[in-house]
Amino acid sequence: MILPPFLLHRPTTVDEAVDLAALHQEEGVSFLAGGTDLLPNWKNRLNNQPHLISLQSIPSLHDVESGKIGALATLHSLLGFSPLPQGLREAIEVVASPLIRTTATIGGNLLLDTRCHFFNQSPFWRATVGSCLKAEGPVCRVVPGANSCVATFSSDLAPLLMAMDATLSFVGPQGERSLPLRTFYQQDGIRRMVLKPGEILTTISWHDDPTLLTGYAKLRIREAWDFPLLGVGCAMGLCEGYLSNLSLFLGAVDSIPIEVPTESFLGEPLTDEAIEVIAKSAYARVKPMKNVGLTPSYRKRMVPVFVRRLLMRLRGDH
Amino acid sequence: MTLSINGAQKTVALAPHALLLDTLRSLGLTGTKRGCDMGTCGCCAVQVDGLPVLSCLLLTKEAAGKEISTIEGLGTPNNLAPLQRLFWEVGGSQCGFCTPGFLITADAFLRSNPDPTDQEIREAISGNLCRCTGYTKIIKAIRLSAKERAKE
Ligand SMILES: Cc1cc2nc3c(=O)[nH]c(=O)nc-3n(C[C@H](O)[C@H](O)[C@H](O)COP(=O)(O)OP(=O)(O)OC[C@H]3O[C@@H](n4cnc5c(N)ncnc54)[C@H](O)[C@@H]3O)c2cc1C
Ligand code: SF4
Ligand code: FES
Ligand code: FES
Repeated sequence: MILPPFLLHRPTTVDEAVDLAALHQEEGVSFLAGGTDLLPNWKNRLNNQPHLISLQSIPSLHDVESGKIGALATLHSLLGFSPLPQGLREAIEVVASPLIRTTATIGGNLLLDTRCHFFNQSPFWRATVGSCLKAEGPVCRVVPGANSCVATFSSDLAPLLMAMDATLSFVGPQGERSLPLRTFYQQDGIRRMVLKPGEILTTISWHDDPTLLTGYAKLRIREAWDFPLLGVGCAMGLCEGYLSNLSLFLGAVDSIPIEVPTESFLGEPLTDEAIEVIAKSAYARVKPMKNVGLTPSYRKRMVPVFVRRLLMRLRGDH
Repeated sequence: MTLSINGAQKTVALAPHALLLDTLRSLGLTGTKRGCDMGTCGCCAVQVDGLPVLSCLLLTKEAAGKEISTIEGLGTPNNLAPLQRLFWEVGGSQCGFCTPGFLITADAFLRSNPDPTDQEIREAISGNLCRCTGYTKIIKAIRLSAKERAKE
């Protein structure tokens, strides 16, 4: 499908990009990283803007060091970086396909748009069915009568990086700020997150702790391409068999990643019984919508299965 | 603007929103195919600075100053690259629409991993779709090419 016309800007510094965004804010601007989410959406005439500011030519955004990654680092380049937390490696390896990962960036992945069968379609398809709130229609087609959007959160990296308690840094018209990733997403499939207009995500960082065990498990139909139908990200600290840290986030079962509470298990050994309680509580917290592949009830029933398997694997079982 | 394609400098006049796929095809380099245009088939794969990328999801201007390699740079009908010859010999190509994408992907892959397992080959080509061959002969051709390269 042909892209609609727009003006492409290619600044070489972050400040220049922020100024350009401010200058064209009223007409409408988007930032471009790898473009593997934005360009298919623009081809489908979703969220098009007259100005596109490419961040590709800003060298500082590509910097990668241990525990601190520039937003423009490609997923492919990160796989070649060491030391990379094991869970992050697992999550990156299941994003899209190898051909997409050569251009897809880590920042773009965290800012990925939410997805829905009624939204990610051509204008022709949407016109036939009547479109929806997130595009150009009056109502939600998934929850009839709802006046908010429940499109599915589809980033593979976010649940894992939330479990690792990663921090995001931004530069915008009001200067710099940092936020815990755990507070970044918003329960609204359209607004999605607390990114301010004209703000650029510059780095993703985390406390580098080589003893932290991390892992990611993903449910999808095909072993390549497919967006997650469930993603489980986990970070675990085990000290002589006792839990010093446990964080668990579920992706693709809601409009934001869902946290499974685990505080009551800290200081305890991770027994089979504990895993069972955590798996049950994960099951109770999710209500997947009928807007991506597989049925909601199957995806919900897979939640405890995937949680159980991942926790057992990180504990050291095979 | 000037692009470096298969080692030659080409001057092109471009709209800002031109995709690399359209630019290449407008230059007569029609070996690079438009399949899905949405990142899901791999028919449009080209190499940029040696890495396989999807030209349907890349703005031409982002490839400026980089080395672009297309299927036309890999070999010609009278002078097939070894990988192309093996695809032909073992039947790794039927209708051929997916073949340039597979060759571009496999060529880059074998450079980074000269002695791959079958599983690694499968993963490497998991972003390329083929409607005809059932993949086994494609995998065989890539495996044979790795063996040939190792002998040289
Ligand atoms: C066929 C296919 C399959 C896919 N499968 C998966 C999958 O399995 N899992 C998955 O997680 N994703 C998947 N994706 C989505 C996408 O490829 C990845 O999420 C990718 O990492 C997005 O990064 P990008 O750099 O291409 O983002 P872009 O498309 O460049 O950007 C995405 C959004 O973020 C904004 N943005 C990007 N960077 C910045 C920044 N630094 N500051 C401010 N705004 C910014 C853009 O304006 C845009 O709105 C798939 C895509 C395709 C086409
Ligand atoms: S959840 Fe509803 S409003 Fe949101 S994209 Fe789907 S149909 Fe549209
Ligand atoms: S045409 Fe680019 S991936 Fe299908
Ligand atoms: S040979 Fe026909 S699609 Fe692959």
